[in-house]
Amino acid sequence: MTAPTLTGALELRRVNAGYGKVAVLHDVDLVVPDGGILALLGPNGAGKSTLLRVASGRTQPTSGTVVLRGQDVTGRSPERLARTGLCSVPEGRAVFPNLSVTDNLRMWTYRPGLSRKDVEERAFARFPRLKDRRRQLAGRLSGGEQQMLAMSRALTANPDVLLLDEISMGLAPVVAAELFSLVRQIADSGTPVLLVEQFARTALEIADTVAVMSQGRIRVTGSPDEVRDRVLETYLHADTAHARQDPAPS
Amino acid sequence: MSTLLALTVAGLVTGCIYALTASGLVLTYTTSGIFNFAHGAIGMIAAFFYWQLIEWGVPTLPAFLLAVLVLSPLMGVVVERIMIRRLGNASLEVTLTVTVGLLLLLIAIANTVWDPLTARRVQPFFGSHQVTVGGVILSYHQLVVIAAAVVVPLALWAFLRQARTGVALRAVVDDRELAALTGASPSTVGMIGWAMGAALAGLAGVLLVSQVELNAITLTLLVINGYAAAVMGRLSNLPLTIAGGLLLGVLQSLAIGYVTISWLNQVQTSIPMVFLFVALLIAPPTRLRVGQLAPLLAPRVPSARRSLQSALVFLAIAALVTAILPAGQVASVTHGVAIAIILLSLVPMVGYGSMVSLCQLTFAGIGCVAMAKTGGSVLGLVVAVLAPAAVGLLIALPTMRLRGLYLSLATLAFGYAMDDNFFSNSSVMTQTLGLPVPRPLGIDGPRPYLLFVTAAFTVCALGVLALRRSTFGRRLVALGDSPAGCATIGMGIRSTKLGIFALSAGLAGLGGALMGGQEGVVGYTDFPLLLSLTLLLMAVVWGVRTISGVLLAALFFELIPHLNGQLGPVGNSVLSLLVGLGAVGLGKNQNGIVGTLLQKTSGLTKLPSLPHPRRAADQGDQPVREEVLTGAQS
Repeated sequence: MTAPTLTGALELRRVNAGYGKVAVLHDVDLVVPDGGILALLGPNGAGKSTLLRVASGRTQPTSGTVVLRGQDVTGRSPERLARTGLCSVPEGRAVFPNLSVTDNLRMWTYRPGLSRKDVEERAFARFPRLKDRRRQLAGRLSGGEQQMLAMSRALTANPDVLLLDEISMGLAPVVAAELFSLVRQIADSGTPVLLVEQFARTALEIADTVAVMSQGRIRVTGSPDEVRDRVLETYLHADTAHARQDPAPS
Repeated sequence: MSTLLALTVAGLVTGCIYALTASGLVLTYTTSGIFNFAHGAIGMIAAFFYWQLIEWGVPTLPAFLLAVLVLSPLMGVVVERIMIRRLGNASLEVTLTVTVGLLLLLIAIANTVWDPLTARRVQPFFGSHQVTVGGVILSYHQLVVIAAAVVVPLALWAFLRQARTGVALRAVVDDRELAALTGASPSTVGMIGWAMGAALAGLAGVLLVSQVELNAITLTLLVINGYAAAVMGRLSNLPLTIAGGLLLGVLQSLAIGYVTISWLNQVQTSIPMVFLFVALLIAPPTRLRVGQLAPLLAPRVPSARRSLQSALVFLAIAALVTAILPAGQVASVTHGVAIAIILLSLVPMVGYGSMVSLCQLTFAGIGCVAMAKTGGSVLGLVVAVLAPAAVGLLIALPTMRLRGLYLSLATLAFGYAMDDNFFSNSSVMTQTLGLPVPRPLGIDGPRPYLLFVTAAFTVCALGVLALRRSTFGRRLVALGDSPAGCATIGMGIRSTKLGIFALSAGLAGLGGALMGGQEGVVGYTDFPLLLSLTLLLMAVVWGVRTISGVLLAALFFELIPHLNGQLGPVGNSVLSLLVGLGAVGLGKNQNGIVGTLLQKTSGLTKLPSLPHPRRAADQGDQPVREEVLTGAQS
């Protein structure tokens, strides 16, 4: 399946991106290894979500390339990327609030090779609670249930890469912990995961590799143990680096 | 009793057609978020096309299928591809303008291809075959209509619930970006939505065509009646929409049968608009949406000193132009400047307050009539301002809680009803002779009058700019930007809204009176609703946020008849549409042509362009709507 020269399931090579005249990402190089969880950490406004937008095709990079399984996919529309095998769960509740649970599951079948029955069977087997609520509108589910529904897409799609953006946001700690153990399971079953988090502690616990971003650049990459002590430093360092750039009398 | 039954059945049949067209409208609105003003016009074109095919000897069934299942969806797809897709997150006035432009274009095309002076009739399906059911005579045609109204919504319902594309249609409405991330293509889905909506419009048009005279405007307006039904379903609920259509048909039919009040001579035809107005009023209030920060560049507001200087320069140039203008052109230019005053009334309302009024010419007409009835004295001018202002207040009061599109539709309903019941009323103006309008203040001679109107425009423009700089102006802009934001800082919207309606209507009234003074005599066709729409189109295309924009719009509008001579009858709308498309296409600058020019010379307040985040932020507290379209579940 995969060419032997490959090191990552998804790679960003010297990617620059932004909105209008505001540049957000500067020469970002990131390799999502072919297996395990890569956690992307960074303070507010570091460019994490923009990086995910570029990776999922929602924002086009101004330069640089995005490579999925050895294939240059720069400029591909999000729907084509999704059908190819990139599953991206965006920030917030990644469900259709005015669609019933079954209708939401129906939408997951846009991934080729999945029938309606496959999706429902797999989703309901993992989350029996969704089966009880299958006729309810997704918007009326609790936050945790909505996130289960969102994650059921990742579970059923069996994607080449899974991108998760701040999935724990606004959830009770217990629910968040459950969610993270689910992410671990998905990764253990062989799906490479890129997990974006603002809160470092939990992410450091479950990640295999960690990249820390600030001000649109990847600052540190390494194993959680290597990075652990340097996370706070990087967060702070970003600010001092910024301060140093200001014109100051010397 | 049997009359009642017969009327009810006839009304139900008409109601079925309303229900069909309204379903199409709801479908396009929910899938693209754009209210298609040209919906009726698409049905009209389909009807004409059907007539043409029959005329060429095509048998009924193939002609029907070609018109409804080929031409109409094709129109929907083309419109979606060329116009709608570019609109993205455009503001209401831009989306309304584009579809209004399409409406005018389609009417112009129909009038060019099919000479409006020729009478055309189409036989109903199955000729005059009929059956008697329970004492009521039903033609086969009526049976076809009823069958269509039963089968089509059911099929639509099944499609939306069972087919994956149908689910995707609803999903795209919910969250466009997420739909793309699951692998459904929002643009393809949007195209399907428009194709289906247009097919429904076409179906309604073809079913109607044998029942009424084949006339572009009549047919378009008939299909517009479906708006009322769609609003009853709050533009999202199909079962309610269909119920609304049926109810409307029956009410209208009963009114034709039983209401015989002579002074309300046209009340039957305005039933749909009264219905629309009432439906808007009883619809549950829209929840305040947390304002999204649209990266819109607003034109910079000139200072008092700067605007006074510009005004003096403008007056000097105007005086010079007045002196050297060829005698034959004076009347036309005066008319144009009067129109500019009417368009000026759109600046605070649409440009600053983002409330899109579709009946500005109606207010102008009221001002004109008011002055004609009181004489051209100072008093007459005062009345010409106060009378429409009072009417504006009357409109603003019941529509206080309506916003956005609903507010626009309410003004549309008002303008439409006024067309039928006020301007064509013989106690307002005699239909044959029209209404003589004096020149205000006894100003005689074409050139002095032109100067007078120009001075009036200048003073009003200065007033509008001063208003923008005042507290009221800031409130107005705040209201347009975010009603929710206004509420959170404790700013009452009531006085602002009442004020802007009165002020805008009064200004339009003044313009109307001055225009009437120029014409000398006005007739009941001088203030038609469609012209209100054309004027709005012009203003938005040239820039409704700037004084220079509306002035250019008015002069261009005045120029059209001259260009018309060279381009033929279709030139009119093609020109306006080209300008409209050009403006929308030009880097999507929502400030119109003048705005684009200003941007080049950096006369706009700079705002960093922002990412357009997924509506994630407001999804958390976004109220769950009732199941879109299917209306099932809660």
